[in-house]
Amino acid sequence: MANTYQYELTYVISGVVQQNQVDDIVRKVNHLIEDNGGDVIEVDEWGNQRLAYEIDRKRSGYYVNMYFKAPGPLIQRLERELEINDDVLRYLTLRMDAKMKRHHKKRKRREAQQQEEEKRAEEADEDASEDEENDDE
Amino acid sequence: MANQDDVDYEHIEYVDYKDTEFLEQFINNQGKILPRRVTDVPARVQRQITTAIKRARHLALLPYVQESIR
Repeated sequence: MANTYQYELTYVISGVVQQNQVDDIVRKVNHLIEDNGGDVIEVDEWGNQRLAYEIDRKRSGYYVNMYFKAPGPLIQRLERELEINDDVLRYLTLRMDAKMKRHHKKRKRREAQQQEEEKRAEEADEDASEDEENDDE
Repeated sequence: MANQDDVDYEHIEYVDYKDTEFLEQFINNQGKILPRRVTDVPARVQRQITTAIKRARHLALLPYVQESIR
C-alpha cells in the first residue's frame, strides 16, 4: 500500500459549461479519488468567477477548491483525467505540508467564527424586529 | 508599501495563492511582481509571495500582464 498524503486541488471549469455538466465533472473527480483508496475531506465550489485573462476565448470560469487524502500514484491519473477533459481549463494540485495544514485549519476556524457571528447578528436582528412588533401592539 | 511596520510579516507562516487580495499588494499595475527592495518584506516571505503569485496566475486568479489603459 502506497503512502497516502493530504492534497489540495483547485481546478477551473469553463464558464460556458452548463451547471449539470459542472456537477458531473465534480462528481467524477470525487468518485475517482474515492474509488482508488482516496478520501475526500472537503469540496468548496467558489462558483463562476471572471478570469484574470482569457483562456481559450473564455472570460469566466467555475472554480472548485477541494481537499483530499490519497496515495501518491493516484495524482498522476487524476491530473491525466483533468488534462483530457476539455472543459477543465486549469488545475493545480499541491501536496500539503505541515505549514499548509496549519494554515488551512486556521482559515477554517476563522470562517466558522465568522459564520457564527453572522448567525448571532441575524438573531439579534430578529430579536430587534420582534421587539418592534411588540411595540406596535 | 515600504515602511509598513504595522503589518507583522515576520510571523507569516504560509502565503496562500487563494488570497488574491493580499497578493495584489505585491504586484504593480502591469501585473509584475514587485522586488523586495520595494516591498520590504523578509526574504522568506518574499519567496513565498513569489510562488503564491505564480500559482494564482496559472489559475487565472491574477493576470500575467495587465493591459494598461490607453
